[in-house]
Amino acid sequence: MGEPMTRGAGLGEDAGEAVFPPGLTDVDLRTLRAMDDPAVLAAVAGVLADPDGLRRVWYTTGGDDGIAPAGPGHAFSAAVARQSLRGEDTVA
Amino acid sequence: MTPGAVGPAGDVRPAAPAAPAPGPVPPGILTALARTRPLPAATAVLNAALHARRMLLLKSLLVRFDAVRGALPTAARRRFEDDWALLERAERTDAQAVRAVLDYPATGAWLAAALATPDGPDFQEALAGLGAVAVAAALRAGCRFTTTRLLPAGTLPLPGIGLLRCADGRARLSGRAGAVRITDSAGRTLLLPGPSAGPAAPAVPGTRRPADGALAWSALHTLPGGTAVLDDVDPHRVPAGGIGPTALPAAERPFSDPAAWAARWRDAHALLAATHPARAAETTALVRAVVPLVPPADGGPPLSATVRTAPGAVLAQLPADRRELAELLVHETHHTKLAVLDELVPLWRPGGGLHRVGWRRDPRPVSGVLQGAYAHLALLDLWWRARTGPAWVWRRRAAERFETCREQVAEALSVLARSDELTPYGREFVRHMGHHHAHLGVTARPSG
Repeated sequence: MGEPMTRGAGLGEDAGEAVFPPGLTDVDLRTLRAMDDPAVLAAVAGVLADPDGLRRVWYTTGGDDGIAPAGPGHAFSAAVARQSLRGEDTVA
Repeated sequence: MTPGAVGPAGDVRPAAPAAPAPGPVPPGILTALARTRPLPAATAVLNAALHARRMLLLKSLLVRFDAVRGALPTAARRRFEDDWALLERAERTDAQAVRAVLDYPATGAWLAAALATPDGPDFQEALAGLGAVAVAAALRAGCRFTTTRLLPAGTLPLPGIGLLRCADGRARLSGRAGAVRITDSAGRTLLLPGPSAGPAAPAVPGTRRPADGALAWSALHTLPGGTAVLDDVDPHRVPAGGIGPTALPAAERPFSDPAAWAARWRDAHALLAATHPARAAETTALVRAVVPLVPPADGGPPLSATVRTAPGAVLAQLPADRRELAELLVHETHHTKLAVLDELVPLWRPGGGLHRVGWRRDPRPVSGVLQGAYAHLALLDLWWRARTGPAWVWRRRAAERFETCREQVAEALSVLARSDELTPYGREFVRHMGHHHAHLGVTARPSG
């Protein structure tokens, strides 16, 4: 496979954001710990800058299909309704 | 907020965008993924990407540990270093076994929770989770090891393997060739035999405990026909806030009904394999765990979910029949596929607006529109096959749902096609989704 990137990297109009560091698929743990490659550390900084963003949940009910943060708080629902799929048409 | 204009069903292709620059996913794979095609090569790309992402989260935890190590108590610092050393040793023994533990959904959920924990005592406690991962890895790798764990919560979850309950909060574990001897501070002992074949891990699903119940081991049940497990014990299997608008929690053993899940899983996979063998194989390759949720209250609608940091886990209430489970597995597997792909290549830009769609009152971000459209496009593909497939019992239902869902996906794709929040990869991805949607629409109509 090719080398992964994080959001926006290398896409022309989206350039300027951190590049997902290469080589993480096959790296061993000892090497991972010692890694100080700027690309790796930039990607780590990206993760640590928004740790709550990691915990997103996509859920589906008989009435809807939504996306929400995992923790307590607001839910921002966003997807295709599934009400008709299970006969629970509550939001149409 | 952009209006959600409904496009013509069956043709929601946007104007051909400029092709994105060569990226980390070969164009043929990206196209196959957009069309929801269950290609083994695409599955391999996703599994590699999932592991790379998991390693990035692990590296992030190491960076945070290094940043606070001077402020940690000596015992906590030493414990983390010992756990890391055990993890490295397990990897040297059997790298694939350790990879399976690292890539297990609950490991991702623990990492995400740990990284979101502020510095201080809570972070120190979160770091202890590395010990559970290391012990699980050592067991799976068949390492010889001895470790003493302090368990303030009285539990030690071993990702993908099971859960140890230890009432007095201190347990000594000695592992060898996948078998483990567990002794608590009162001298109670559990002996869990290693498997005679297959992945190294303590065998015997279900719960084993000494007579007084103070020390107990709950092994996960493996679902029929593969390696996926029914995870009804790991504390990280469901986010702390629960799932969905009612904050639905996980079903706890012994109320998780493993026998019913195993039977329905077997039947659903047989149905899926008869209808679309490649899709059944893809599901087997990508679903690592099923997490039972408590049944709906007051007969409410059933719920299923996928967690971004735990792709490969299907969180669900037990579906009513094999058809529903087959559909649910395809739906959630596509949330997993897109979650992993979206970590690999950017499909949308953060910070965009909200979009109206015709079937919901609440606006939603483009990422959610994309996730829902993708999961339902996969269902359309499934129903397109099932309506004329070998399973007579599924044909009528599949035909009805295909027709209803096709219009809904068309609306969502129309929103996406008009959106300026997609990246070039995202626009290309949606374009291929539109092609596939159109193909299904055309070929679904009777000739003439």
